[in-house]
Parts: sequence; C-alpha cells; structure tokens
Amino acid sequence: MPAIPAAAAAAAAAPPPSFSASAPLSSDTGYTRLDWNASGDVVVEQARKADLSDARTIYEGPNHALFLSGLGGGTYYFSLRDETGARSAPLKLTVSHQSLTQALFLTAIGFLVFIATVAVIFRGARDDQ
Amino acid sequence: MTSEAALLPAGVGWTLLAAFSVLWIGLGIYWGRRNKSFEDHALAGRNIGLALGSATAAATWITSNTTMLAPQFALQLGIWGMLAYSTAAIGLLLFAPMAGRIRKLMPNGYTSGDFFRLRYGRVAWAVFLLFTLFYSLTWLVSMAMAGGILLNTLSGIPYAWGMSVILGVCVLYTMRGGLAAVIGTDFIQSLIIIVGIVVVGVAVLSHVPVEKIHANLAAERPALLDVLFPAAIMAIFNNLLFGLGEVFHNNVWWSRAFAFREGVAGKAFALGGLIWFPIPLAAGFVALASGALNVPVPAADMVGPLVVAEVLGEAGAIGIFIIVFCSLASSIDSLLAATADLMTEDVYRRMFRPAAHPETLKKIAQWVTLGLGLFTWAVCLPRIGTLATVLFFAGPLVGAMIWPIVTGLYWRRANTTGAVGGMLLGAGIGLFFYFAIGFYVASLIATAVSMIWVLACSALSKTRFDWALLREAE
Amino acid sequence: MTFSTQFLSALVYGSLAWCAVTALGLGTLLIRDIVRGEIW
Repeated sequence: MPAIPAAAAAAAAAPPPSFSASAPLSSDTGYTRLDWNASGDVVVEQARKADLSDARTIYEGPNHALFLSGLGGGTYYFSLRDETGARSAPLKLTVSHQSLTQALFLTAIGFLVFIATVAVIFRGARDDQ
Repeated sequence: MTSEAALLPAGVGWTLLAAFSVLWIGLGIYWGRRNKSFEDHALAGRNIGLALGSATAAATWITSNTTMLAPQFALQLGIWGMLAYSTAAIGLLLFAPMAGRIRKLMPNGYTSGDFFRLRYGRVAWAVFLLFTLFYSLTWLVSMAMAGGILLNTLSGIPYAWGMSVILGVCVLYTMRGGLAAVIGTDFIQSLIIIVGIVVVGVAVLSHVPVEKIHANLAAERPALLDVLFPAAIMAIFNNLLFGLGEVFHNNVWWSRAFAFREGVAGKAFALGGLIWFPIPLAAGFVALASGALNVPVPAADMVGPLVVAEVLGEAGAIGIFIIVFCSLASSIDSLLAATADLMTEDVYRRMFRPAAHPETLKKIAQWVTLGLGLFTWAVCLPRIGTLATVLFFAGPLVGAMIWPIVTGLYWRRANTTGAVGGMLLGAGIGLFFYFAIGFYVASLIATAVSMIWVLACSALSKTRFDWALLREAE
Repeated sequence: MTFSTQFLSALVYGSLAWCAVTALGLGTLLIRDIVRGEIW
C-alpha cells in the first residue's frame, strides 16, 4: 500500500460536504428532497444560474436533508458549504410540471363520473314496480 | 441519513402513552359489560343516538392521515392539495342517504358482505371480500406503522414499542367493548382532536399573520398558490373518488349504518361529513406557514409536528402527541372491529357455521379481533417502509366498487354480470394506469371504467331484482 | 393565476371557526341526547 500524502489524509478525515444524489434531479410536481452528507453544520444555497452567481442561502444548520416544494418550472442549482468553507459540487434540479391539458382533461372526466354518481344516489330507487 | 432530535423527552412520551392507554382500556371494559350477544358486540344493540353517531362517523374518518398527511399534502400540492383532501368529506355526505336506504332494505343486516352476497350472489361476494380485506388490512398495517414511526419521531420511544402499545391498547378495548367501546371512545377522541387542531391553528396565526404566509409562499413556493398547478388539480377528483370508494364499500361504515338507531343514520353521516370537512384545511395550513416561520423541513411528513413545536414549544409537542394518538386509535379500533365482524359474519358464520349461537359468534368476533391484531403486529414489526405505499394500490380496487354498490342499492335492473365485471375490469384497468401514468389517475380511471360497464349491463338487463331478498330472516 | 391573500384568509379562518363550532355543537348534541335518554 503506497504512503498517503499528509494533505490527502487530512481531507479524508473531514471530507467536503456532498449531495447524496449522484445524478441531476428532476421533478414534475415542483417538490423534491435534497439529502446530503456532511460532518457539521452546512449552508445550502440555491441559484438559477449554472455559475451560481445569483446564489442565496435557503438553509443553515445541522440537518442532513431539506424538503423543497412549490417550485415553478425551470432549472435550479444547489450547493453546500460547511464551516471550513469547503464546497460541494453543485446539484442540478429540473422542474417541468405535468401537462396542464392532461390535468384538465382528467379533472373533467372526474367531474362527470362524480356528478353521475351523485345523480344516481339522489334520484333514488328506480323501476321499483 | 436524516436523524433529527425528538421533540419530547421519552419520559413524557411514555407517561402520555400510559395515561391514555389506561383510559381507553378502562372505558372499553366498562362499556363492554352491556354486551351479551353478537348483535350487542358488533352493532351496539342497533340503537346509537345522533351525538355519538355523528362523532364516530367523523372520528373514524380522522385517521393519522388526516392530521399528519394533510399538512404534507398542503406542503406538496398547496391550496388545491388541502381542498382536494377535504373532498373526502363528500364520501360521508353521500353515504348519508345511502345509509337510510341500507337500514330500510336490510333491517337484519350485519355487514357490507351481507349486501354483496344477497344482492349479487357468491361470485361477486368473493371478489368483494378479496378487495375489502386487501384494503382493510393494508389500511390497518399502514396506520399501526405510522403510529410507531410518529411516536418515535415525537418522543424517541422505540418504534417496536410504540407500535406494539398502540395496537395492543386498541385490540384490548375493541375485544372487550365491541362497537360500543369503539363509538364511545371515538366521541372523546374526536373532541380532543378538533379542539387540539383549533388551539394549534390559533397559536400559529398568533405568530404569523396570513398575509405574511401568503407573501412568503408567493416568493418561495409560487406553485402552491397557483390555481392551475397540474399535479394538484389532478389530485382533486382522484382523491374524491378514492374517498367515495372507501366509504361506500367498507364495513367500517356499513356496520355503523346498521348500528345507528332508526332515523339517525342519515343525519349522523351528514353531520359527520360536515364535522370532518374543515379538518384537513385547519390541520393542513400550518404546513404553509413553515416558510414564513423559518422552520426548515427535512422531510415532508414531519412538517406538521415541526411547525407546532416551533410555535408552542414542548406544550405543542405534547398536544401533537395526543392528537396523533387519538386519531390513530379512533381509526385502528374501528377497522379492527369492522373487519373482525366481517370475518365472523361473512367467513365463519356464512361459510362454515350457519347455525352458530349468538354468544358463540361474540366469542369468535373477539378472538378474530385478537388474531387481526397479532397479524398486523407481525407484519409491522420489521418496519418495511414500502409497505405503506401498498395502500395506494387499494385506490383502483375501491373505486371500482362504487357503481356496483350504488346501482345495487337503487336499481332493480343492476345485475351480477355488471357488478362482477365492473369490479374486475375497473380494478384491472385502474391498476394498469397506476403503473402506466401514476397513482393520481388510478382511482379515477377505475371508477370510470366500472361505471361504463355497470351502465351497459344494466341497460341490457332483463332481470329485475326483488328487494325482499335483502331482508334475510335472522 | 394565483389564489389571493383574501382567499387564503377565508380558508384558514373559516376552517378554524367551523371546527370550533362543530366542537361546541357535538358537546351540545351529547348533552341533549343524555337528557333525553337517547345516547344509545
């Protein structure tokens, strides 16, 4: 086994924070959960630009996950920073909401089925004779 | 890994658990002394009044899902999500006229299985039993598991212990007290839950006004306020029909229709629906306040307790613990009782021992309750998280039963081909779309397919059912 | 198109008031049933 350089050993003792997801995330509902590994408190930043130039803090603390919801369609980038200033690789999230046409179509079918059910119940007993 | 600290010290959790356990078991034994026969045990003497009737209809429908999943739904799907959840009240409201009709057509009935057997024959009865047992057992398992997990997150009580105590307490008082104990405790539980939700809601509003919640949502989570949020509007009717199917077929509700006093059933279910309707909204909106209150949410299912603990501190955590315990108990007890009665009446009595003595049947129902409890406990013990998601498979199964039941109660020309075909086709095609598109269309498509089949068979039918056949002699 | 602040307020305050009323109603109903001897 080759000798490990001192700097690498120190880095291994306190690895920089990292997201658990290995591939970019996607969501068709506007909600998702970020999970990460870190040894202490972290700052989670959210940005809309790939270079994180418009990043802002959305969480600061000891948790290892954050639930996001209600996001509008588009691309989001997240990054982690720990107390030493070490940064994670950015994580990309793509939100593209489901088709509104399909949603409205299904809602219309649902409405029809529901109204028909109500009608049967309130018309009451038929052909009783 | 998400490991957040518990909101309450374990000692407080154990004390609360012990106090409520003693209360429920004591009441169960006290109320159980009135029961002599199977009819007393299973249907509380068919004489439940309006106050207890309305409260039990609401309380049974307030599951841990209502108090815990409503905030989660609000956080995921926003305002439409909360409203979609509230539509489940329509199941109770529509069951109100049906309950009166059921009581009139089947004065001696015991279970929803009796209806399927007498109205559509043995094949339809077998399909119904298969579907309803699948639904009831997964519901039971998912709630017992949720109980163990919630007590663990709230107070650090180990999962296996919390789950075992909740289940054990419900089994004990349901065994001893039968439906009377279930309905009596339901009344107390529903009052505790409603008052608790109001206190929590007012406390949240005193910390952050609605305007601030709205402004925070508009900035941070705009889709939650969007009137045309696709995932949320699809949930509306799917959820509504899921709820309709659950109420219309399950013996939890039919046994209550038989147990309420003459003339009470319709009013009690309508009032129960009205009592239930605002609860998902009142319990759910606290999740929308999480952003404005700066409460970080690591997992969607923890949002309710986290916001309440932030606003009310330890008192809030105690309140949530009690609300959760009451909502779990009020549903687990009802399911245990109704499923045990179904197995006693439809399986033991109708399949094997038609001449069984009423006292023997009561004993059997008690042993079946214990058996169900042990079965649920054994399934829950390994804590297989994915099991809870199996409950969503039940959506198409229950949706497919709506039309066979409704037309079977009101139309003489509704027939066996329509009922059996509707249930099997609806459930099959619904399950296919569950996997092909998603859970949010499964109940809807199952109900629609079953409706079309039932309507076609009724239109072509030459048979006319004789309602007198439903009045089976004792 | 978004839900307005007024709509959210109505929903929140309305549901809380409704819950409070039903709790009182249930209590009253129980007392009425006990007085009439119709509890079960």
